[in-house]
Amino acid sequence: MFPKPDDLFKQSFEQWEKQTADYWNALLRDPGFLKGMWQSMETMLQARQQFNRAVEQALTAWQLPTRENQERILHQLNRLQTLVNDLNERVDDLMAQVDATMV
Amino acid sequence: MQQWFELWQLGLAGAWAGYARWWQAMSLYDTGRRQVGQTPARQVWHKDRVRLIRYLPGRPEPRAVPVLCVPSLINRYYVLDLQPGRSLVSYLLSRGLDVYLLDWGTPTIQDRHLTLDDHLAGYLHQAVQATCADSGAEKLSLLGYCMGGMFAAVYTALFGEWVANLVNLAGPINYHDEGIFSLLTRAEWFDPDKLVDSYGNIPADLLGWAFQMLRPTSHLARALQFYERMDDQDYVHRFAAMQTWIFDQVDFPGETFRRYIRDFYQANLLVSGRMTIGGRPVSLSSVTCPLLTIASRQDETAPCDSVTVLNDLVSSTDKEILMLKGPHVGMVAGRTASGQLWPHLADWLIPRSGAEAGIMG
Repeated sequence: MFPKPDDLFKQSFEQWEKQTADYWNALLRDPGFLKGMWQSMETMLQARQQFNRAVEQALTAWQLPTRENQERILHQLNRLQTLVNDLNERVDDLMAQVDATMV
Repeated sequence: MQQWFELWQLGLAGAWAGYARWWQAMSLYDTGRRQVGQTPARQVWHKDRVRLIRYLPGRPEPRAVPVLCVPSLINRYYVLDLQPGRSLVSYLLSRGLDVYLLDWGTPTIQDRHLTLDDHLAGYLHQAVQATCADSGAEKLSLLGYCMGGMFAAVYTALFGEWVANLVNLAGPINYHDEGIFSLLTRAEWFDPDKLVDSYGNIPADLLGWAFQMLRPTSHLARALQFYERMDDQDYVHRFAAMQTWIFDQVDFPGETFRRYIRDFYQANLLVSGRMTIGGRPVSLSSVTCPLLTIASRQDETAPCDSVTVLNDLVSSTDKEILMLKGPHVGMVAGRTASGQLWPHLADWLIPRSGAEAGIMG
């Protein structure tokens, strides 16, 4: 009796999947592979950074805020907003205390 | 001619049946996708992108000590409330516990400069205070999952007076282990500065790629399994909810990522006792509250030895290790979770959640 095509495909796939996973797991534990992988990623990051720098220079030349400037401004605004919210809450608490003593 | 026509009819009927089957499965998938995070809750506190939610108690008078769940910073909170019938939160409520959950939200470029200190001594500390204020308790049970487990342990070391019980659910503590992430991030080849300086916040896609590297063929295997079982409504719903969560990752705030990799993965400062948060040293030996550590031997994300080492480092006398089966997410939200993790966790928490445990000592 021949196995059904579906079962045959499933068995072959499972075997392939397990072998590939085992091979990949061994590869990921190889320092040479990891070093090479991160080196190629660093090359990509360097290209990205060079592009970012060129954009920053262009924006600065046009006296426009860069991404870094925007991030910092947003961060500071966020902190200020938090501070104002905290102060609001404290004022509300104090007002409630004042109202309570007035009664 | 007649034979050709019959063959064509047969082919068309087969194609139509296949299309109808697929359409029905997609409809089920869509229903499953919308089932995530459905347990009724209300927001009790928020700050910036972070919010604290309280699940509506399952009983009129829940137990005195509330449970604050702290999920990972880079995954969505609803893994603990995945879908009806597969929700850790819902189970804890049904056992009479008062459950709160910290949703870290979605970082944007304005969060790029937020540090680990901001998350631990800022957001988490304020969420703990808000939980206690809302529930009326003086202390709470802190339940951290994945990176949240490490956060909970560090928090308890710093602010132990607020924590009645600590549960570390698959949270890595020792980062110098045989796990794949420990290897990937070694200082010999990985420089987090380059990544942070280039991207700002670390994109969710890049993090997803790193997780995918653990087993690159897993998506293909899952797709095949889905094709085989797409007539099974319950399976499709479960599959859809899990896939929704897996692909719903968020960015990692840049400065937090830099410090997380440098101090935890590369220098392993937490285990060596040299970690500081907000200028205060973090000594795990200062943890004295009851501790439950939960790990799995099949967990590739947080290897079990890396998790269970916490029990050796704390000074608690009431401490326990629960070893489970299953992968990192499966042990919390998988099919076996309702029979293994959930009842054991509730059985451990309930005797430690009485009124006397919630008073500051």
